[in-house]
Amino acid sequence: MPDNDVTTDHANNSVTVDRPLVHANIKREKGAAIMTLDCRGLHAYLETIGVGIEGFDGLTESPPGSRNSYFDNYQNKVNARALCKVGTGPEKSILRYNLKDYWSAPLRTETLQNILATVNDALIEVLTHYQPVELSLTIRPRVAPTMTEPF
Amino acid sequence: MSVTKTRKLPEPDKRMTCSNCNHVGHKSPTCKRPEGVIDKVGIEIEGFWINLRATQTVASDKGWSAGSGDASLMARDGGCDECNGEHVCDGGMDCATFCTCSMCDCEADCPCYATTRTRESVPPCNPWEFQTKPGSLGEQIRILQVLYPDYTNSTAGMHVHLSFRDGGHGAATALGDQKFFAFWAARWNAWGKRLAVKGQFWKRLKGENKYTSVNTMNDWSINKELSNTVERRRQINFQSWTKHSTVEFRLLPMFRDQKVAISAVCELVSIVEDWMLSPDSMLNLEAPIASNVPPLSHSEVYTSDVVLDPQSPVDNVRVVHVIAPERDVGVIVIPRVMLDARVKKMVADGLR
Repeated sequence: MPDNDVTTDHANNSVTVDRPLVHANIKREKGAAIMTLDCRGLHAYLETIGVGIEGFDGLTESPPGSRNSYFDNYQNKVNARALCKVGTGPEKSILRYNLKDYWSAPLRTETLQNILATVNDALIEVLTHYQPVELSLTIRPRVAPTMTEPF
Repeated sequence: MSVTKTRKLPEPDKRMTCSNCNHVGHKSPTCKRPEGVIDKVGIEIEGFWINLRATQTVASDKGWSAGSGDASLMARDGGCDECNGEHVCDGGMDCATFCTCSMCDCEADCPCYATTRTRESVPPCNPWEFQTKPGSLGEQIRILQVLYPDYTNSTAGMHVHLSFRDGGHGAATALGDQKFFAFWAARWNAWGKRLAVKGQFWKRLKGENKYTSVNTMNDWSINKELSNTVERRRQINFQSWTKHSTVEFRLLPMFRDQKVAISAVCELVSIVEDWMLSPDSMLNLEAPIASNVPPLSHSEVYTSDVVLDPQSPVDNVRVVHVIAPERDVGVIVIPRVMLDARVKKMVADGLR
């Protein structure tokens, strides 16, 4: 993952990513319908804000929708979890999904287009899930309870 | 019931089958076609057999399906009250226009001329449907020749099933497209004219046969799977995916001439293969994705001292018991879901 994808400006609390967070397409490769999610921008950003990219289960750390599949084949949409997968090849953030593994029957072109349109919603869900919060914490010694306090 | 005698080839064709493209007539080393998208071919052979039992025995002995009955073959196809669709002609002058004819592939339009024609003697024969064992195109052609029916009629179809490599979702999607429907019709038109095919084929191609109407994009509801169509009796039937994981092509009739039937099956496979090589079938769809990051300001600020409140609105925050001298560890910014682990680390760092 290139380091220069992400620029962090701590003073202004902002992060700039040079490439699109996600680039998605569906192509026919021989007989298969393959959805490719190029999540290099997203994963670089997540790494910058402290999210572990390679979790124990091939997903980013604490991904959203832990009970969801990568796709919702009832509503025909991409779940946020699909963007949080980490591949095994040299480009770990370029994810390839053969749609036959998620839909029992082929889909029409219009439906595939509609599914692609839901990638944006999934991206927003991921960003919301990992939305940074600012925490101010002061550590002080614990005060021992006095004997007069009730147990 | 009107039936027409078929013309069979004298013996099974032994032309070469290419293991690369599955086409007959050449060997793999000379094949210039890239590896096809089609995995297997299967054919439903409908028609009438004089000695059905013998044909079934042959099919069983070779490990093929012994077939099944087909009620649609018994349907009346003449539509004429006078002859009930049961007349055939002797090849007279009007036969190409008006009736089922033993001399050509025309079928009964039947403004009844039956009284002026001689009735062809048809021996008792049995309607049936054989299903070939799916395999290469060459295998299917050999099976077709062995099981070819003795008689056919306008309701007898030769339905070809195709399955595709790699699951086939991309290939099937490429076939459920208006551009392919136009390509399909144009290619069959050209084929029919090239071979001077007559009769039922043209009715089926125009959608005038109730078993094979023309596909339209209105066959589907919005956002439904390709197999979820309003009707299976289309030239291209996608409903068969549910049961067989195939696309069924119902256009072809059971031709009277076996050579025409073989040519038609080869043409069908060729049409699909050629379409898969065309740029229009590549499904290169792009997502309308927002080009960059939405505002990523740290919109929520949580402040705490001593220990974190167990009632904190942040889901993953848990109480961290700290026994330490007073120490300000400052402000940190961390993703919401990372809070617990990061707080523990921060506290540990603060204690160091």
